[in-house]
Amino acid sequence: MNFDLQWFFNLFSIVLPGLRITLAISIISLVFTLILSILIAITRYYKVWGLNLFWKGYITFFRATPLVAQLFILYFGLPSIITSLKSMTAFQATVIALTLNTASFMAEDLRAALESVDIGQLEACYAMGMTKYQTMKRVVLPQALETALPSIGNRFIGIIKGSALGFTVGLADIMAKAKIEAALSLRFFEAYLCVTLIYLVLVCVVEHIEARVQKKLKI
Amino acid sequence: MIKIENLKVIFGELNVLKNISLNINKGEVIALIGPSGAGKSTLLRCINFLTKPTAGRIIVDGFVFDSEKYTKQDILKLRKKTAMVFQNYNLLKNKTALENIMEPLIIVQKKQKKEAEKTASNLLAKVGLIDKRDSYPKELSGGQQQRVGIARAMAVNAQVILFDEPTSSLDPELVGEVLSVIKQLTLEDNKTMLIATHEMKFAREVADKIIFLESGHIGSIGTPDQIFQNCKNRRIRKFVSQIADIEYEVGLDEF
Repeated sequence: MNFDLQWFFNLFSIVLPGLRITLAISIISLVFTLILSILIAITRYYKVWGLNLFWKGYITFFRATPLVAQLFILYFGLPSIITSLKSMTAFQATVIALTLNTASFMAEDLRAALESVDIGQLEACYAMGMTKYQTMKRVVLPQALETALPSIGNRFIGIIKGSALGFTVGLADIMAKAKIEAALSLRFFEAYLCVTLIYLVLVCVVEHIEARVQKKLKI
Repeated sequence: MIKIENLKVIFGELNVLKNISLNINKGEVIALIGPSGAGKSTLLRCINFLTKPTAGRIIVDGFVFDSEKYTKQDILKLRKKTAMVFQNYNLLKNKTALENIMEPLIIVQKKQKKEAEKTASNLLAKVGLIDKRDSYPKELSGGQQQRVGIARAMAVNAQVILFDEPTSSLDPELVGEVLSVIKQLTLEDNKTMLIATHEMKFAREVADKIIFLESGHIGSIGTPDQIFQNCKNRRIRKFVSQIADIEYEVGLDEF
């Protein structure tokens, strides 16, 4: 069998340092995605005129086009027209593209979750004399986030895997390290199997965390 | 104390409330009875603006709410003067029994957490659920949830408590415990209450005044004896006798 086990195990010490970048992209993107999605979902929930229409267009565009095309337009395309974007790093571009792309999906998940909160919950808050803002913050949003947790987990997994595109704009994440080693040694199978296993373990950890959070919320 | 003047509610083609005027004195317990669709819930929901009146004025404790000329602040003011017990309990699902009662005290009345917790525990004890203080609504039975709902409405010291068919969603065997809690409150506290209900025996026992509502207007208003015993209105007699067949025993002895 043409599988160099020794080389395969050695690869981990070369590829794993890239995990720092993969994790940084994923976690920062998740935080921004959550913030943006909540913002979009709430303005869509209240049907804020104008904004609602704008988000609709945004969601259609980012759901309909491939992430890699969005990343390339952002990193290679736009700076040639808007010169101030020239200082954007590959890291920033990847985070922005992942955020804009994932938020277009997550915003819809969240909006559905917001709408699934029983009207009686809102009426109870209003009857107490709570404002719309207090009701959203203290009751509707927490309940919606709980409902949306599984799909938020899904989207986070999507972000982690999507971060692999960082290598196309020159980021030294785990995918980039694996690709370089594969090209140098021509041992493609070992290199890509190694990076695949790392993603697999990473996602398993995320699934485990999600399950624990869900159990805690389920009471 | 509470005055309703020429209240009208129109949903599209449907005249739900037709020019209702009403005076309620402080400490009075009023039972609203009448067939389904007569406008009992709508009347209650107008008093805290969960339903927007088409016309009319609502005056609670000197505060005048004109349904044709009001601000957002007026709505909040009106709601702070009232409290509601819902047919479906509507306990906040993400809060424990204790937190549900504390919520209006802390968020709306800006009370200190310690003080709110004390008030809430006292009320939970009063409705017999102090051992469930840390339970979430889904861990409670319907009757228990409604008792927490009643405690929550009591907590804010509102000028009037609105009960919107508080036992209609309950399993028959749980109706008694909720009614006896309400009954006990009417005996102990001198609260003004407006109770929409189908429990005729209960209405007769607790109410100072009964209002019979039919197709959007007040068909009759009087003391329980006037409505239930000496009523000359045939429609009311028919309604009461129909309902009386499905009545439940209410007593304080279960408490």
